[in-house]
Amino acid sequence: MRAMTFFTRLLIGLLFVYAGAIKVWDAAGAQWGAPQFAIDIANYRLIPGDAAILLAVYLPWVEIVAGAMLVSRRLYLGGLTVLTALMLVFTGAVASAMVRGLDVSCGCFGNAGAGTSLSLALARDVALLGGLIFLVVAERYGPHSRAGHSESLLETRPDEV
Amino acid sequence: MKALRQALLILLLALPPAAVVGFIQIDTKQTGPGTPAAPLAQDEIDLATAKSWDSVLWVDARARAQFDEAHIPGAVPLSEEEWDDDLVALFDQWKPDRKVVVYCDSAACDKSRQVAARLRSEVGLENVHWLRGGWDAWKKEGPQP
Repeated sequence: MRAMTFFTRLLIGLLFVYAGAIKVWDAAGAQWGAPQFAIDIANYRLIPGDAAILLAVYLPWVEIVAGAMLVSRRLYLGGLTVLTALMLVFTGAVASAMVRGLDVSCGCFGNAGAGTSLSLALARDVALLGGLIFLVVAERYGPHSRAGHSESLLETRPDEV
Repeated sequence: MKALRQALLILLLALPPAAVVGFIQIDTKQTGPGTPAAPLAQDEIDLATAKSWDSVLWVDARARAQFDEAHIPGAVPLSEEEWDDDLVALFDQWKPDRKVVVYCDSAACDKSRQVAARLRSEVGLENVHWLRGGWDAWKKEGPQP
């Protein structure tokens, strides 16, 4: 159980750091127009174009910081909360695009993820969401549950492994 | 409550790098309008070139609901889901000297490439291209050449 929690935390954390970093990298290399991620967000037709550009600049850094917090176990609960909320939004957005019959790139991994079908993206999102919920449950009810403990905001504790 | 406080802190920590990188990107794009676009792929065509052609048959590879909502004037729908029916309607409009330009939603979608490839390989059409930037590019630049 402890090893599973450790590897799930590491896998999801690093995945989000990678997903955020590759979008920042794509945006930095974009030669013209808005970053690809902004176009991907706008294609979902859920928010206005200007908001999509701002979100495309901000969201990758949220992924990087929250992912890093998951890996390092600093601000762990906050990292879990942010990533779980993000995954709920991402999963909802992909599902809604499928329902509306949109032909869009999921935008999950910048240009590296171009061509990924929405059904595959949805399956991946659901799996990641499942992993995050597992980590939340493990944190709440696991052997090292923090319930009832008083800790400082930046406190970390020895890892499971 | 603690989780929310930490989450808020994470959101705040992400702000400075996003602000710096965002500012640099926007500044670069505003001061560098002459930066070259990526080279066109095989059979890819940009909107300016497509608009300069005399006779173009626009083919809309997006979902039918999107086509019904709005499309390039004169375009015919051709989705992979309704391929056979749509193909009959396409041939009503097609002429040998007419260039075919397939478009989908945006630069990110892949259907225009797939449909263009099928028109070449399965139907045997020549002069088939796919539009860079798709419907988004058309909306941005407007319909007038």
